[in-house]
Amino acid sequence: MRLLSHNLLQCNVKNCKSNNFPLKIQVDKSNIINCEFRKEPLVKLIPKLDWSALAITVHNLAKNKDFPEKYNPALLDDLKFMQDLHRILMETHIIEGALICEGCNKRYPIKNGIPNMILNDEEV
Amino acid sequence: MSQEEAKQNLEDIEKSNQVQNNIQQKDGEQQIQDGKQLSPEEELKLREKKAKKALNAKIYDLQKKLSRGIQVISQTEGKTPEELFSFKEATSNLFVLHFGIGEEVDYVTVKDYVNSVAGTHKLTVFPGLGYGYIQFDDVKKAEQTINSLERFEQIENCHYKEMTYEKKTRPTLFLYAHCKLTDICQNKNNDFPEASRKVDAPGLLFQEEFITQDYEKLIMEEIDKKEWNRLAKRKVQHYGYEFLYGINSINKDNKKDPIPDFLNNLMQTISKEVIKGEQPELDQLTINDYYPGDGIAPHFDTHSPFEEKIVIVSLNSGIVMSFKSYKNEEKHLFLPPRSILVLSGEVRYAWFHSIASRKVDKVEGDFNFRRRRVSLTFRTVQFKPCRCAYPFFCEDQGYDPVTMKKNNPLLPRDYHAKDDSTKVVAPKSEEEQKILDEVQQVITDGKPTNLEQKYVYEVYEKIAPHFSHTRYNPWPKIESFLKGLEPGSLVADIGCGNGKYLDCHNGDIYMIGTDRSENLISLARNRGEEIQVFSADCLKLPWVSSKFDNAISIAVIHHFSTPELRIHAINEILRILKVGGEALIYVWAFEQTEKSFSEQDVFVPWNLQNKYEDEKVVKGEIKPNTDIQINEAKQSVVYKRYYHVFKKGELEELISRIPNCKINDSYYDHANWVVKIEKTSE
Repeated sequence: MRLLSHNLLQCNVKNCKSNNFPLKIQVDKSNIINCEFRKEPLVKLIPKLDWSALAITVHNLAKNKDFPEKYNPALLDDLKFMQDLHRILMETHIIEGALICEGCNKRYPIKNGIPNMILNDEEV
Repeated sequence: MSQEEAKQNLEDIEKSNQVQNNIQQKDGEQQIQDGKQLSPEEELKLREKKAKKALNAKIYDLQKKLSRGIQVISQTEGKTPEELFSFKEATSNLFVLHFGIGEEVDYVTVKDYVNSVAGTHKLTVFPGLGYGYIQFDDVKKAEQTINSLERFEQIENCHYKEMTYEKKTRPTLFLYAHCKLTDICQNKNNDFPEASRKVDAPGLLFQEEFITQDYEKLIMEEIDKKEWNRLAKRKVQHYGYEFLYGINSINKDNKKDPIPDFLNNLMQTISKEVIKGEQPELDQLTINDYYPGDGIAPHFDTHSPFEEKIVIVSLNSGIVMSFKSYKNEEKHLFLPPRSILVLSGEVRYAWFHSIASRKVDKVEGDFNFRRRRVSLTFRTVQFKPCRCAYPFFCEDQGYDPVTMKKNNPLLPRDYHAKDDSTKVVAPKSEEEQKILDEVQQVITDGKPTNLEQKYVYEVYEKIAPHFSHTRYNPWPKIESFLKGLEPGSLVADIGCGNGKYLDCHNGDIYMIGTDRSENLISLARNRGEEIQVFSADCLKLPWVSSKFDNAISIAVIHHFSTPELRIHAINEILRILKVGGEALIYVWAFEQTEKSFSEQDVFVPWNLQNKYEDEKVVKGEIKPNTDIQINEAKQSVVYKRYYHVFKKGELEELISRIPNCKINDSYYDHANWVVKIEKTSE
């Protein structure tokens, strides 16, 4: 699972309405899988991100306090930053671990890069 | 008999023997050239002698004609003369030996004569044959006809009349018929249907005398001043755009000479009375030159190149155009010269029209012999995809015109070459009906029921590898949808199965797939390290709302057993889309040939080959949590998947109940009904 995908995920357990996004990531195994850096699609993706959720995730995972908490259009012209962002969003894959909802503590396991988001009967 | 009377008599005979006289004359000339001056008695004697000779020749000739005629009819019909003719008694039908070739002049000459002596009758001539058949409604009329004729006592059954066919005179013989017309119509090349001057077909408009005779004449003259293009079977002229015969389309980039000015008046009238602003003005004209015997095979004009209304004006001669619907209804309409025919709606999009290759048509009991006919076909070139209501006939809506006849589900069953019994989905068993009835009575509250659990989720989980093996070709329309999306689009594939669409784009969009079946999801994941997939239920998607630019849901929503759940699934797609985002939804069609259904809620068997199956299941040692059957003959285990197959329009109806979306497009593709919907508000 890429961190870009993670940026879209939320907990959908019945009545879990607050603190259900972003999901906390427990990493047991992650991988960097290189892929081509293409600026144009990336630039178009940025406005669709939840930037603050991304910043929280990056801060939690990488303890990287440099990652800006707020989006700023000037970043688009910073090639170094854009390449870093590409690495974070597109090349970082969570292979094993779990996603944990901070609102209801629901735990979604990740196996072989696939998060299992299926809810139990009583959770729907 | 006085000499005068004898002379008069002779003159009559001479007159009636005109044809023979021509031959006899030579003898006469010979006599005079001998230089003998004949006395009046001698002259009379000579004339008597000549007349007798002529009479004998005539009798001989008629006798020969009569017996030859009877022989020919008898041979052609494969019946004895006694079966064909009534030599003793009068009947209400007659054979006529006109000794022509069954063309217009034979018909008109005989008909005029019979009309003049007996009145109404029905004359049938046969192209290529020297005889015809006359039907009267009363035996008296037949007798009247026979009694009007000349005869020779020397020849039995000889009733004849010298008739002039255009410029040639031929004796024409009549005989009482013993058989019916239908007895002799077998294998005749004029055993073709009779046309009407008015037919009812949906979308067909027709009007006689749409233009004046003077205008018709002018158009004909002007057309013949232009250069004709020679095709294999006929001549054409094209204006406005070039027509490409191989693909039955037009070259939209190649504008040809404009439609000629002498048609301006006609075009204006058509614009006012036919087009009425309902489509852009006519801008393409094809002129066809048909000669007697020319025809055109059953076809309909391809949908894509032209707008709906197609206008055909006939000039100089009438012709019968035949129409055939997909339900095999046939209609035959006589298009007289100067008439206008407009094809629109169903008849334009889904009926075949044709002109039979022959020289004569039957029209309301009468014959219409074809002459040279010039037809003007006006069309409007279309610059957008066709979205007619007849997707099975529409190349723009996923139906390949080449395979259309073969696979068209709307055509009657016997239209298709062979019915494969494995395609027929059996009606539900009692047990299946019971489970369906049960789940349809509970309020599901957006939760999958026992039925989806047992007959969808469990089954896909079991058949995943085998199923995946059979699903590897992306469908072109879906592929082109994905390839046409904006770079940087976020796209969800909901119910992605083995993920065949997840890597089927040009790399500029970001696709994420979900599926309920973990086994299918693992197969999707195996396509590549970058593939993004989640196990999730499409009734409860794991994503935040209003983020995705697009979504696809291919063959998923038909697996829900109640309308409520189907709507719930569509609502969930809309929830994750941003406003203005578009989703493509495919559901199995009831109307298809890949399978045939007798009802909409069905349990479709899946033959899982034993090599994909757990050995213990094959041996019957363990049972999966669904109904299975062991098929020893096919070395497989039969699972059943639940489907609700959609009827045409049903998906649109379902979506019309959802307030915050609109349908941007709907069509038929690969046995599925398809809609493109757009989220219009939160």
